[in-house]
Amino acid sequence: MAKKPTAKKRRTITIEQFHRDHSAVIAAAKKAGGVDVVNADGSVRFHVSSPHAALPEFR
Amino acid sequence: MSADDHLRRWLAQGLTGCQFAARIARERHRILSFVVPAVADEADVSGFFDACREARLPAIAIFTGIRTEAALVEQLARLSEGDRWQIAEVSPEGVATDDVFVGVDWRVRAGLVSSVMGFAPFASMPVTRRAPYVCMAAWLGEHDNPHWTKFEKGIVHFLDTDLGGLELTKAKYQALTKASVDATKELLKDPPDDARYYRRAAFRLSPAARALLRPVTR
Repeated sequence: MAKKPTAKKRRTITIEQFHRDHSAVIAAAKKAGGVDVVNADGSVRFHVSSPHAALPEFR
Repeated sequence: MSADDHLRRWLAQGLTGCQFAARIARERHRILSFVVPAVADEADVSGFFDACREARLPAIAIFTGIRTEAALVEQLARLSEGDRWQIAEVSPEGVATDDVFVGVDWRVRAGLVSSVMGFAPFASMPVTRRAPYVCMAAWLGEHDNPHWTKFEKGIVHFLDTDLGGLELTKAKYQALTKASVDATKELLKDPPDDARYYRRAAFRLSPAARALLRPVTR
């Protein structure tokens, strides 16, 4: 039986962490998929990212 | 495709005319994006800009929930609640129109503001700024481009961007500058428009937006 694909867990940090530690935000944003900044109830407030790979089709 | 990926590809195509923006968008880890689906708090956008300053990366805030000029003005009103933001109507020299030109400045530190560049999918915007989403992009560093020497002391904008990662020789920088000017002129040919109008204007909105903006501009 084929294994059911599992949803990839998104990386998150809290809004308090976002305002307290920019270095951590930048490091998380540079990882593949970036980082969701979440409210205390876990809802997504905004997303921060930095392109993880170059665009080879434009080279 | 996510909004930040979409915008990145739009920039990489060179549709702003700016060949530097296109190159930066094509590379990894050369920009920092912020994507917000609703009206963003002033502190969140300012916090993001501060993070970009720390990272020494250009900032692009993408407001995917903004669909109309009225919604954009609501976002500008929210930003103007913070004392680091200055939203003002500007009057570019030589332009004959009733459209509203809106300047957006963000205080980087005492004595230095960043002139924010706006993008929006509105027909009033110049074609080079008519991106798929409403965005505010900015360079939040200092005068970090050694090739750009005609800078204004108290203002930074994209010409001040640290391009160190692109490893450009003086000749290559000059060639890309010429290519940018030529491409922008070509893109702004029909209907006739001029990049000079947008040096200090983030957004060009329809005359109907003027009344909405009145409480926001200082």
